[in-house]
Amino acid sequence: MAVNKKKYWQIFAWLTILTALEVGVVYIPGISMTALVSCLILMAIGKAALVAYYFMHLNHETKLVRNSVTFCLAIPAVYAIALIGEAAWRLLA
Amino acid sequence: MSANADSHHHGPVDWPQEEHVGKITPGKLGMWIFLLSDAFSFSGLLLAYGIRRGASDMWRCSEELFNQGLCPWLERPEPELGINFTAGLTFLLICSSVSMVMAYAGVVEKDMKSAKMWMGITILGGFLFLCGQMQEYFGTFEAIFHHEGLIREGLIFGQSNYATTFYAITAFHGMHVLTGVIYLTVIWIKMLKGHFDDGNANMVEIAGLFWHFVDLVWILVFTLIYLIPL
Repeated sequence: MAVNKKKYWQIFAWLTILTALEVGVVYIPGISMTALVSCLILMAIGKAALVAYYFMHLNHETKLVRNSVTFCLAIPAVYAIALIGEAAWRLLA
Repeated sequence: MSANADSHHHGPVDWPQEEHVGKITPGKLGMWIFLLSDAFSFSGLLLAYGIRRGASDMWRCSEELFNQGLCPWLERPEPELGINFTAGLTFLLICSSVSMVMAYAGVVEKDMKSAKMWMGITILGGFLFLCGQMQEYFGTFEAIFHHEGLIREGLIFGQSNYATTFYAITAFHGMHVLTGVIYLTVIWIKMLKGHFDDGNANMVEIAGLFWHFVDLVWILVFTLIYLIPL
């Protein structure tokens, strides 16, 4: 498998920037809880995807392998969304 | 090179192209299956944490709540988690992830001097992360960080959902880091003995998969446990 060292360092830079942004956003005064939590979770998913796709070489695997991994990891995420939805519904009811 | 090479063969393996899974080796496929099952373990813990936290009226017994007598079962208020220190640990794991792929690149390019150096740096990164976790829990390096550790500050496993979920999840991850450090050390010793000098990076890539998974999980743990405010 060919290696692209420049790409590895680019991903490292992105991960570092996103980590700094994650910590920075926590200290923004007056930010709403919804905006804060949404930003944090989106950045964490973005970082995790970068690690899986480039460092774990999912970009070099076939579509079937990529989709199998994504599908399996999506199951707990869907369950989490269902639980959050249920909790929100109970709070509003 | 044939994929049917015997177990003593050390030459570069060009695994045959398969219609659905490409050139993925059985070892790599096995590691992916293990990692997905491990991901479900972490998912179970994180979902349980989310459910407990979402259902509780009071998550952390702060000094204010403690002084109001709202947590009489505790001897003292519970401490906040240190975001900046843990952000440093997160950066350390990110550094060790990039050093891991550089070690892999070194083996593929048959630049073994570079591969050995980057693998050593990766192991060091994991070891320092474990030291950081020891400091966070026990204040092992109090003289350097001037922090007595969460346990001595009053965050005791079993005393509250906040404390118990924190230790259960971070210690489970810490066990993975320890396993990873041992695993990578074994690979490093093989590397030092010249096991990968022929450019066969399959074992290094499989070990890398485990190490990157440990980093990936920490990214989620850092956000969900440390960053989302109380």
